[in-house]
Amino acid sequence: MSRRTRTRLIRYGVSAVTLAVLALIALNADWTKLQESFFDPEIFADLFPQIITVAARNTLIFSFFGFTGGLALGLVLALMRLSTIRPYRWAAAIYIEVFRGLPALITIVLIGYVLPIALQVRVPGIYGPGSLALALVTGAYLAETIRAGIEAVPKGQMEAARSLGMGYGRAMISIVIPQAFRVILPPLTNEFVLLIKDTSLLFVLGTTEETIELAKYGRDAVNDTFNGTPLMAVALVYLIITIPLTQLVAVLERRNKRAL
Amino acid sequence: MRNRTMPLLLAATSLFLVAGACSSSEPETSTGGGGSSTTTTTAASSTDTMAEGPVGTAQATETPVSEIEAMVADATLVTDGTLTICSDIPYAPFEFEDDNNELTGFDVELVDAMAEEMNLQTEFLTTPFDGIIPALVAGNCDAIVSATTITDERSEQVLFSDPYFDADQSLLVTAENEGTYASLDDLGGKNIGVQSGTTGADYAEENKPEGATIREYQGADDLFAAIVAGDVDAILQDFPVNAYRALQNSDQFVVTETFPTGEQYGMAVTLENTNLADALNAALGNVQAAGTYDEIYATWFGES
Repeated sequence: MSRRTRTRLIRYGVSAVTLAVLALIALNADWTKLQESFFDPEIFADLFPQIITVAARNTLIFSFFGFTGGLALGLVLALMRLSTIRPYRWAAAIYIEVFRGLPALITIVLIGYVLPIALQVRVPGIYGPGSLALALVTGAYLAETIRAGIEAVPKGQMEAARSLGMGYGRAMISIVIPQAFRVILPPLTNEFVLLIKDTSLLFVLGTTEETIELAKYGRDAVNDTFNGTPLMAVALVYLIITIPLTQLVAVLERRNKRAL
Repeated sequence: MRNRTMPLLLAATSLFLVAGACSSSEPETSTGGGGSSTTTTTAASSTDTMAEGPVGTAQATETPVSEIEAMVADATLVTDGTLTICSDIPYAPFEFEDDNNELTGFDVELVDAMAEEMNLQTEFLTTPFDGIIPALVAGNCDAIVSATTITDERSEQVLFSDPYFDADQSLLVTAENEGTYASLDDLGGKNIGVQSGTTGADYAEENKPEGATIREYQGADDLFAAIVAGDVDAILQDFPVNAYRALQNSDQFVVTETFPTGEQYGMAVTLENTNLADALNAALGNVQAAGTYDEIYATWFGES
């Protein structure tokens, strides 16, 4: 048979197998039970408005503080990594390796329990310990991203700025870093999405009615109602938060391509 | 594409299949749970003045082992020959690991003794307490033995055995705050730590003073770490647990108030598993009649 016929047959074959598998699953699924256990409209309605006004709000608050802190920390670390002073480079490298290697959960426990017990240092504010832990983790990841962005800016920019009489710091702040950020906006937004999901680990620090975040809210509701609907609702809210962000990244990337 | 028949045929077939699946699924009739109250073979001897207490052994009846084995044979077990137990470990002194990483505790020893009567091995599954009933209902284990208080709400979801322990709630504070937080009312505007999903959490929520914040934690150990870290000013939890911790660390913790809620612990099985509940009750009766219950109680809580 001709090559074209063979390709067509393979394609149809794959489609047929896929559809057969899906049909098998559809046939064997207990749709009534599925609807009862995961899409109960009454339980779903009961979750509002707290799921948005308290849980989602708290998730966003933790993410916001964690990200701004992480951004500041990441910038400092990136500059330290690029510094000519060796101890700065080493200190930054060690920090980045440690906090990228530790699971976020461990870091959260460290800040929430070990710090107060060992050093009697308590982070102020109800969002304090959680946000700090997230900032420490995010900072380590962002440091490498920002460093890559800074290095991506052509060396000529720095040289031109210096030759115009700007100091290193001035050149960095006004010329190099703004250009670096334009390049790394997509990975930055990626990191933000990961951070939003890491807030689900904050339950280990103890939750109050006021600071409860989305995942714990959903899990509590599942345990109270013996139903999986809250989990679906929480998943939906997470996607409503993260999908616009990832779409934003796509838009930004397209705009960047045009600009270049 | 010039030839459209193939894709159309495939699409049509799949649509038919899916439509057929949707309409042919019949609603499952759930097998109604028993919820039958098993005849109590023990007389509860809870006195309001006792913050913790054994459940009366004076009138425990003995059931022949062969009868118990018959009940077990009729019961549903996750693994044949083994009693799989969901438990929130650690929760000293009921279930925790000692210095040799051996599982020990009042609940553990009691269940081991009962399992012997039932001719079963025991296997413990560590499960966080706020998810322990869903874990049982999902079929991860045969029974919950985790210092679980019998409540009406829980009895709608699971079938409880006869009560096997009396407990009250209590307030624990750090030694230096013994005078400041002598009672729950002194904690206005302060942080009270509780464990997620427990009756202690419910009690705290209902009786907290003005302005107090309730902080929920996953495990009992997290609570003690939190009070040492200063995240909470007091812990509201079952008296035996607080008392045990205060006893082990008398210079660090002290129990300042006890709340006589008259709670009783029970072992939980799924609503349909009435045979297992009967077997557990019978085994408990045997253990009490033989005096083993009193021995285990004395080991952990002294002579009652």
